[in-house]
Amino acid sequence: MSTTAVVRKNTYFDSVSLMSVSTKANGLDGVEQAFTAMGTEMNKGVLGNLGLLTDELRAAGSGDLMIVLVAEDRADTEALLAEVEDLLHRKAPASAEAGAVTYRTIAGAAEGIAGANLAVIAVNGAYAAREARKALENGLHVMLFSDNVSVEDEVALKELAHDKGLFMMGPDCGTAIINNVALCFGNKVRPGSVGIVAASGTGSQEVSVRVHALGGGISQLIGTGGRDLSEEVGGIMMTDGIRALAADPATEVIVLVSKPPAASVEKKVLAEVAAAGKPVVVYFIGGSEEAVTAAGGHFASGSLDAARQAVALAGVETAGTEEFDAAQAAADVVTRLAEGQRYVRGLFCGGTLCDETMYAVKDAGLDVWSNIQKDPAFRLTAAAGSKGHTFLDFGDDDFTNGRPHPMIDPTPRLERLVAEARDPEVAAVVMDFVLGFGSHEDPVGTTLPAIEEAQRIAREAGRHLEIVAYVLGTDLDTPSVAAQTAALEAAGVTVTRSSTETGRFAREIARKAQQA
Amino acid sequence: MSTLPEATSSAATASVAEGAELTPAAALFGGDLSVVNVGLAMFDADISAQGAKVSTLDWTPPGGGDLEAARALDVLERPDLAEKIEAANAEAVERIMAARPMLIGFGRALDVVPGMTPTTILHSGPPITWDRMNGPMKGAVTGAIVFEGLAKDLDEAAEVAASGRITFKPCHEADSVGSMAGVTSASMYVHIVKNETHGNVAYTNLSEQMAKILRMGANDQSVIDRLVWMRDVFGPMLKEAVEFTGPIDLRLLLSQALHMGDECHNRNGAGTLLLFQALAPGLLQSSFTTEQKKEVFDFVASSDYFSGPTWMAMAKAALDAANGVENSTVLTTMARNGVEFGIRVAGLPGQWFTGPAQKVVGPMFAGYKPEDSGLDIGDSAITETYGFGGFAMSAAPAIVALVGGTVAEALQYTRDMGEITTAANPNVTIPALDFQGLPTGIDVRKVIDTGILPIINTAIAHKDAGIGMIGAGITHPPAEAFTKAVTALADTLA
Amino acid sequence: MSPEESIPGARGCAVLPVRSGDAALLRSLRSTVGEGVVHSVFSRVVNLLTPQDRLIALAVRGAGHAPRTLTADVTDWTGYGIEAGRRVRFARGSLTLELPHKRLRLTLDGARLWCPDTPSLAHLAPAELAAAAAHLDRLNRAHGALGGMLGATPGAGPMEAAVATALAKGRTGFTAAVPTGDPARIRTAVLSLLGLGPGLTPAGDDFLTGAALVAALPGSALAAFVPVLKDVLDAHPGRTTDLSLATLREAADGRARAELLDLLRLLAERAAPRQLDVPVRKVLAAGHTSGSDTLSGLTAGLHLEEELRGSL
Repeated sequence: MSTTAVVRKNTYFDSVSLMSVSTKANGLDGVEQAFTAMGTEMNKGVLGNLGLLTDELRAAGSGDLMIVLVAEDRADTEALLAEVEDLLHRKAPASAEAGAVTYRTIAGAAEGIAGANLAVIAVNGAYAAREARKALENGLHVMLFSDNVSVEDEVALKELAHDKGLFMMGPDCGTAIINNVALCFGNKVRPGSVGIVAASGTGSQEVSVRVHALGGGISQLIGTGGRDLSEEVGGIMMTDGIRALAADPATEVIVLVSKPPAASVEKKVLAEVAAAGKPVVVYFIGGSEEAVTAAGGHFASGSLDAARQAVALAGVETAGTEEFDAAQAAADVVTRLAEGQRYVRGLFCGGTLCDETMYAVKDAGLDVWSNIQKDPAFRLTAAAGSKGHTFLDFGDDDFTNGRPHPMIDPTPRLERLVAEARDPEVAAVVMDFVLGFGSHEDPVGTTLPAIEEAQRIAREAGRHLEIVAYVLGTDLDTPSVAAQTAALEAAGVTVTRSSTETGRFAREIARKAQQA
Repeated sequence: MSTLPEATSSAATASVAEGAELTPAAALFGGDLSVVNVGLAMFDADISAQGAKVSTLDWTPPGGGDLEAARALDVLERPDLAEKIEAANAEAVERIMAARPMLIGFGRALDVVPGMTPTTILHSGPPITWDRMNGPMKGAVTGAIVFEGLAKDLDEAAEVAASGRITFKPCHEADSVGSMAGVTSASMYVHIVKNETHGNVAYTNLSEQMAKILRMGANDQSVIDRLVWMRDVFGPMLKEAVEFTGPIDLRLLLSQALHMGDECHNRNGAGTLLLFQALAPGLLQSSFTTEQKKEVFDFVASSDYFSGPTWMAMAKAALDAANGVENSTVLTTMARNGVEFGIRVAGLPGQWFTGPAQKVVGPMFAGYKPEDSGLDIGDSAITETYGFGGFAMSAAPAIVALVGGTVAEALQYTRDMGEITTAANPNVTIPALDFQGLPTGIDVRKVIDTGILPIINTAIAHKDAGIGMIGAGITHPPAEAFTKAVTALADTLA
Repeated sequence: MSPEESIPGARGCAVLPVRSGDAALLRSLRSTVGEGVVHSVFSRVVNLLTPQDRLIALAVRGAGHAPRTLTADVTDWTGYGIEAGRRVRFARGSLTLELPHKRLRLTLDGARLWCPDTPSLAHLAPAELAAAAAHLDRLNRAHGALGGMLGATPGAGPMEAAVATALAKGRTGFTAAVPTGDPARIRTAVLSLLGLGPGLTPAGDDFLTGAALVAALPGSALAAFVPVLKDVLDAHPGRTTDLSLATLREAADGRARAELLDLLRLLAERAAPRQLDVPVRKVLAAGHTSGSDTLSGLTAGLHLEEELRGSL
């Protein structure tokens, strides 16, 4: 047991308020007994006899109110004191807060808030469809962050939204930018004339950030949810999104971002591309060029390519960027490797970033293992150790397993980083750091101790471990991409400048290390 | 999953009205973003930091997170059934709001309450047997047995109670309500309240005023002495008084009391003055001595609670009028026996749906701690079922200190209750909310859908027999009772 | 009534009439000029320090009469923006509080005078005193609040229990000391209770207030207690709160809240026990355990009165 006290100088409370404070203090978690009394000699004497007199209480005068808490040892006294202060302050007139209305239901809010036009819904999947339906029925566009919504529900919601002319972004939609406001996970980018419709969250973040870095800007970024282009859903939201951007006077170029769609859906989407009346850049990760070109679209081979084409089509003057010589950089790395260091390991937060890097390595004809591999022969589970060239998406359900997404909490990656450093076959570890709204406030800072630990382990084993990092973010984000990059470089990490470049660099290291 | 193609949304209609060519998407892109944020509060700060409007809901999952309840709700939301329910609920609330309960007299329970016998003891809440009763209720029952002369002392009374010679019955099943333990025995005097509109009658016993009283579980000689005086002087004098004054319009008095700052469950200062004002001429004309009249006046003046039971009987008389309206999902009863909380639904007459009685949270009298509290008890939640009490907290800002809270919270409580009720009662209004009517007709479906449980203002009795009231506060029914009710409704109506 | 409704005055000065007040106080205020300060603010009472550093109270309508108290035509002080430390200007016939955005002037003209009328119990026989004390004690135990003089609540924590033990010890010492008439012993007994107990007004003070009131009645056999109490208060003003100190000083002069005096008057008039119920309830309604603790002191005073009367 420990004593904690609050002394209020010359403070007087009505007995009802005092009773209420005393009762609430007694109810605080960890409080054994709360006792309120004036700081008179006699009262202090009694506390002294019980050995409960702290210096603060000793200094209390007759006109001072003492609130004495006897708390359990395990109790967080700081927190208790803060709560008691809070109770005392609650006595303040409530008129200031009287104007604020809290709504309990979407229907209540839609009715009560004039001009409400979009609901962001992030509730347990079991209730998500119901809430989304209520929002649509009340005339709100929906961004449904929740996952674990059935395909049937998704189709029903999207059909309902389509009938009403509303957006049904999601389920499992993590990124959108509407009227220059980033929702959930998004980066601070310049307003502009490039509109994005995307089935992949970090993919669209990457394209928006690259467009910004190239001097362009974003009109709208509409998320569709990862399953929109599946056979069952049929691309309802992407189709509606393309149409909305086609009709939007502020949008001059449209960019589509997705994994390759189901064949029938691809046809449907490309028909919309042909009918859009505006240039459409299509970046279907690992998709084929022919069909896109045939539909009059602009095929993009990677996220950087998509951004470059979009900015060019929008007529934005881009400053000439120096090309990164991945082959030369990789060759420099390989000279420092010890014998047996052959493999690249990717530890990613962003699914699309993982995908793009993995495809780059695979395209070089190398075998890659991953938890998001389509080919079951090369699929790894979360529990399994790495194998050859391994690329892991820590944001996949298999890894998160109820924990927050690694973009919010990057710590689950740290252990794996240290484990990879112990593996004598590892030549390089590739990581991403995603900045922006919704993300962790300092992902690099949280990871640096593990990076140093990994470097130390390799050094002590007589190896050079190449750590490659990509920071997804803009100069407008907090923290800025420059600040996070500087911190990584100071720690001896090689920082790449786009997701595409990360893929190229990883591929060259993998190829050269394996040959060596 | 079914959708309602015929349902048109207000916002969608509005945007169409603004300009025929403007699609909802174009309206979104062309206007200011205003977000309703549901579930994750962290998004709120990000969105408002970017200069957009955002309002984060105080969201709870439907049915308190019970999937079975959510499924039952889906059944009840099928368009054909929903239409039938809407019509039935409209009728149920119309009956509740049109009811005009009049205080027509007082009488001995044995003489007036249907089914009463010399060995019947009524209690609050859903049915319960002697062995399952909690401390306060056992205390009240044994006190009543001694008071009725069925045992010589409390020990013997406990034996009598356990012997099977006493018929225990919920007040609600005898057209009655009872505050706290609700214990009503044959020779206690009760209010007689007649609903003039529909003809049904409701009963409730008299306030014992102080803290150390039978209904709170106290049962020593001072309590019994007071009951004897109430039987011999107080009750008979009230009976005579109403014979002189004639019927008293309780809904009118209730609405005046709300305008004077009562919520008529925990705060009854104005209501007691109004009721006493109405009774005083009759009391003066009664056949009792001046000394006895002085005693009655002093007794009434000794506690604001005098009119508390009266409003309960008033609410009971109105709500009973909605009992049996087929297909209705409106509540007609919320009542607790200290062990279980029971609700009854208009469309399922005679059935109780129960869950465990809850704790009452609020300030306590000096020296008592939360663990001394008995669980929520009493039929007084009939007041919230009608729409006052906790539902009308915004009419009684002065109550917030007593139940622990702020004036803003008080206003919010009434707004929240609007989300789970069917109509606003135009006959009883709340000045602070621009004379909005009481939130009336708690809809089981809406409670499950919104996850908002009715709020109840109530007193706290000590958990042990014999001690009495130790505080006051607020509580809620258990979500379980509503889950059971919505499931039964889905089974019965579908 | 809100402050705005009651403004006949001009330029940001609201005027509130004082309806009634302690006659002695009103008399002294008529000649008080100078600057005072707001001491403390509650919803039903605002306490002020006069230019002479005397504590006086501004009560709301219906709060009941009490010494050093003025009753203003207000239902609640909340919302007036009065804060401790604000200046108060005392002029002949009015007090003016300087509030953040305006001034609030309380006018004394037309205030009804309340003269605390101190009854005497000297004519009661020891047996009558004993019966009255026993009846009050019974009512106190039935309806009073635990936590102070009535003892700790069942299952109370160590602090409440220790305070209750100290209070009980103080009471025993007090009832033993007063009959001896020995000033030194009485002084020690008073000091063992002064400022002791939980809540806003320490329970020990309330107890002493009740006992002092009985001792200050005309013809009391406890009269020896009064000068000792006054000496202790003068010598040790810091031992308890300003509010308690003021209440105790008044009680030593036979002045107390109207409910207490009403109760004593009924005792003096040999009222039937049942007639005491409502007045006792009003006494118990004060503060939290305050009413109950004061009643305990009153009861102890009556017991002592009986004991000392019997020994004559």
